[in-house]
Amino acid sequence: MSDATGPQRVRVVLPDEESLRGAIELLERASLRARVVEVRSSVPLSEDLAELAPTRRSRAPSWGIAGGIAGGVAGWLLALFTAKAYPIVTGHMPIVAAPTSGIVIYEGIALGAVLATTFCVLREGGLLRRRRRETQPHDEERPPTGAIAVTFEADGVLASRVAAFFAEGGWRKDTT
Amino acid sequence: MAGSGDRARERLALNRFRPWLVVATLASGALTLLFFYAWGYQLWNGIGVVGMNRPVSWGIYESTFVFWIGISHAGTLISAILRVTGAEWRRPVTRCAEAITVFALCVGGLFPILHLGRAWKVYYVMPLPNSRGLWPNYRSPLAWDSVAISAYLIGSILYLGLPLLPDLAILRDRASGWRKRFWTLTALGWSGTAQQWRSLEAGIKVMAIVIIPLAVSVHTIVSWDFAMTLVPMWNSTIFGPYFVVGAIYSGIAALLVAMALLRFGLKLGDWLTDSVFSKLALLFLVMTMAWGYFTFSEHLTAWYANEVAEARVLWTRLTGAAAPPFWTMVVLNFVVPMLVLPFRRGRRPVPLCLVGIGVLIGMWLERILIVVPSLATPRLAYTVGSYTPSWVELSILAGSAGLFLFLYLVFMQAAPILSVWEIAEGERHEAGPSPVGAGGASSAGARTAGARRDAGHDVGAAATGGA
Amino acid sequence: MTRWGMVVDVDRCTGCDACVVACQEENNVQIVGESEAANGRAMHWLRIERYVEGEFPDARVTFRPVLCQHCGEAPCEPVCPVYATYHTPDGLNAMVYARCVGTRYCANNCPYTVRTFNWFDPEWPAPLDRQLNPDVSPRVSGVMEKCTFCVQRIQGAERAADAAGREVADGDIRPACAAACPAQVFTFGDLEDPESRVSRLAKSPRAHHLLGDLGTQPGVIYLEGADWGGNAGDGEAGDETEPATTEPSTTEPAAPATAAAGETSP
Repeated sequence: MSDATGPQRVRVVLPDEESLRGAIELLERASLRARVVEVRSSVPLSEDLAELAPTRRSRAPSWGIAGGIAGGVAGWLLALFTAKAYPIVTGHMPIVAAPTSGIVIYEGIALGAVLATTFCVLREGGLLRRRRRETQPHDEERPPTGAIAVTFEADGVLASRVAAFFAEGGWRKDTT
Repeated sequence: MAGSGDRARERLALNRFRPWLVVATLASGALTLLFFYAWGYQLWNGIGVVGMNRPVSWGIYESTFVFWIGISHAGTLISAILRVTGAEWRRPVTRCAEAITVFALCVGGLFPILHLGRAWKVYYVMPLPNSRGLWPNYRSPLAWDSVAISAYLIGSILYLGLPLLPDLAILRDRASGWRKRFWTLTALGWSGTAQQWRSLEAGIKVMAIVIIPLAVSVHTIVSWDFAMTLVPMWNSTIFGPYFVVGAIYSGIAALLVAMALLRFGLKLGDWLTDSVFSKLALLFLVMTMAWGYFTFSEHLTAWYANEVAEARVLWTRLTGAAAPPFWTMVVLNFVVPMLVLPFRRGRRPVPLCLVGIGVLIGMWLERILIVVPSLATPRLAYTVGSYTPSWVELSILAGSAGLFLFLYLVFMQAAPILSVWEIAEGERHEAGPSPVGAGGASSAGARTAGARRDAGHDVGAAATGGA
Repeated sequence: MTRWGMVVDVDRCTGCDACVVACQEENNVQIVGESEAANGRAMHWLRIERYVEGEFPDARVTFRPVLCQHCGEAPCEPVCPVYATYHTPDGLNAMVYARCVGTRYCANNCPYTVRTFNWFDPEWPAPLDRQLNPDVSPRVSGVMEKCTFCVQRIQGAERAADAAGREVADGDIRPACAAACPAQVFTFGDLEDPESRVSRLAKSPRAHHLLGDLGTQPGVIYLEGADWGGNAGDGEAGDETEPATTEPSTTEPAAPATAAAGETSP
C-alpha cells in the first residue's frame, strides 16, 4: 500500500464459505465495492461463490472435438500409410481394408480427444508453465484445506479501507 | 461443514501409516520380484519354459491378459458412467476405481509382451519408422490391441490424473521436505483458482464421455483377438459384448474387494458406507445376470447347432477335461452371486468382498476356459492336445497379482485413495442448500428464492456491484 | 502367373514317414528330443496322420500326410501384426523368420494345425549337425515356422532355368517330401498351368480340399477315395496315375467316393 492512488490488491483468507458470504455482505453494506479478481480454494466452491471472480468458459469440449478429429485423421493416416508402405497381400484382404482401418481411426479419435482435453484443462489452468510453478509468490501462502483465499482489487483508498475492514474483523489479510 | 469436514479430509489425505500396509507392501513386493524373476528366467532360457505346445499355443498368459484388461474396466468405465449420470454415490468410489484401472492396465499390458517368443522384438508391433520400410499390419487384431490398449492406458492415466491434481495440491500444502518437493512436482502448480476449477470440471465431463466408448472398444478388441479367428467357439459375434459384460463384471468384483479392504484397513467407513456398497452391489447383481445370460447364449448356440468342431469344444467344457473348472466357474460366477446379492443382508461389505473374490476367480477361469479348450481340440482331430502350465506361468500369474497390489499400495502412499475434493463437494451438496451440480443454468436469483436465511444469497449482487 | 501347388494322393500313402524325415533334413527343422516331443512340441513341417477304421481284424488303416496347405485365402496371414507371414505372388504362404516376434497367433488361426514353433534354440546332436542344408537358414527360439514347399528348391530351379535361358518346366521342382516318397504320393507343380501334371491330377473326381468348407482355398489338393481293393488309384476312371497320361478332359463324371464329411471338391 505504498502508492495510495493506483489500483491495489488485497488478499484475505477466509475459513469457509459461510464467512466469505458474510464478509461480502458486510462489505456491501459498508459500500466497499471492491472488485474480486481471484478466488482460490482447495475444494470447489458453490457456484455463486465461484462466480465472484471472472472466469472464462472452458473450451474443453471444443478442444475435445478438435482433438478427436485430429486423432481420427492421424489414425486414418496411420492405417493408410502403414499399409501402403508395405503393400503385401495377407489372407486375400485388400491392402487398405476399410473395416480394420476404421478400428484404428476409432481409437485415434478417442486418444486425440483425451489428449486435447487434458491439454486444454492444463493450459486454461496455467498448469503448463514449469518455471512459474516454483516461483509463484502465493505458493507459500496457500489457503489451508477448506479455506478460501479472495483477492480484491480497488483503488488505493478503497483498498486500504477494505484491508482495514478485514483487519478489524480479525480475518487474515495479505496485500500485494 | 468446515470444522469436522476439514479434519476428516485431513485424515483421509494424510493419515496412512499402518503396520499392515507395510506388511502388504513387502509381501506384494516379494511377489513382484517373483514375477520379474520368472520373466527373466523365461527370457534367458527361451519361451519353451512355459507349458504351451502345439496345438495349445496360447495359455495362461493370454487368459490372464484378458483377465487384467477386464479388471481395468472397474474404474474408468464405471466411474465415467457414474459421473456422466451424476450419481452422487460415485464420489468415494471414483478414485480407488480409477487407480484399479490404471494399474490393472499396466499389469495386463505386460502380458502380450511377455507371451511373445521374442519379447525383445516387441517394438516391431509399434508404428516406428525403420529402415526396412516395414510397419505394423493394422489388419491384425493384435495390432488393434496395441493401439486400443495404449489409447486406453493413456486415457485412463489422464482421467485418473486430472482430478488428482487438487488433491495432490492439498498434500503439497501440508507437507514438508522431500514430500513437498514430490507433490509440488506432481500437482503441476495447482492453486485452486476459480478458473482452474471451472476448466477441470468441464474437462472431466468431456473425458468421462470419451472414455466410455473407448473402454467398450478396448475389451471388444480384446475379444476380437479370439473372435476374428476360425478357431471353434472363438469365431463368435457374441464375443464383443460378452467380453465387455464380463469385464465390467470382474471389474466391479475387484472394486468391491478393494473397497472392502480399504474400508476395514484404513477405517474409511465414514465414506465407503454401507449404502455405497449396496448401490454398487445392485449394479453387480445386474452384471451377474447379464453374464449368466451371455454365457448361456454362447453355449446354447454351440449346443443347438451342433457343428462338429464346436461341439467337441463344448463337450470338453461341459463334461470333458475342462468340466471341473467350468462348473466351478458357473458356481462362483452365477450360483453364489444369485444366492447372495438379491438379499439385503448379502449386499453388505463382508459378503460382497467374499462374493467378489469368488467372481474374480471365476472370471479368470472363464478366460482360461475360452482360451485352452478351443485350442486343444482343433478342427483336425489328429492334433488334439492338452495343456499343463509350468511353474514359470504360475509364478507370473501370482506375480502379476503381486505387481498390481504393489503398484496400488505405492499409489496409496503417494495420493489420497479417495477423492478428497469430490467428497468435500458432495458433503456440501448434502449440507448446503445451494445446488452446485445444477449447472450454469441456475441463477443466483433462483437460489435466493430458496429457504436459506443467511448472508449468502446476495453475494452475486455484491460481486456484480463490485465489478 | 504361377501358383505353386501340390497334389497328395492319400490312397497311395503307405505311412512310411520317409517324407517326414526328408523334410526335417532338407529344411533344418529342429530336432526337439524325446521329452519335448512328449510335451506336444515335436517339430514336423509334415506329419502323417494315421486313422484306423473298424476293429481288428477288419481294420483298415489310412494315412494322410498333412503339410501347410498354402491357402489362397490364408487365415494365418492377416492376423500377424508384423507381416512375418504373407502371400507371395506365386501363391506361396511365406514365412519371414527375421520378422517373427512369436505371437503364435498364426498357429492358432491355422485350421490345419501345421505351424510349428521354436520353443527353444535348435540343437542338432552330432553327427546331424554336419548335415545342415546350407540353403536354408536355421531358426532361433521364439520363431514360428512351417512348410515352405521347399522354397529353396523352387528358387534353385528358377535360377537354373534362367541360366539355361528357358522357363521352369513341369517336374523341374521336387520338394524334399516328393523326392523321398517311394509311393509317389506327392506331385508338385504350377496349378495355373493347365497342362501341368498337378493341374491334371487336381481335376480328378477323387480330388478335394482338406476342410474345404472353410473357404481357405488351399494350394494342396488331396486325392482320396479309391476303391479299397488294394489297387489304389488304378480303378479310378480318369485318374492320373502316370505322368504320361494326358487326357484329363475325358474324365467321366463318375460319382466320386466322397471322403470325410465336410470336404468338398475344388
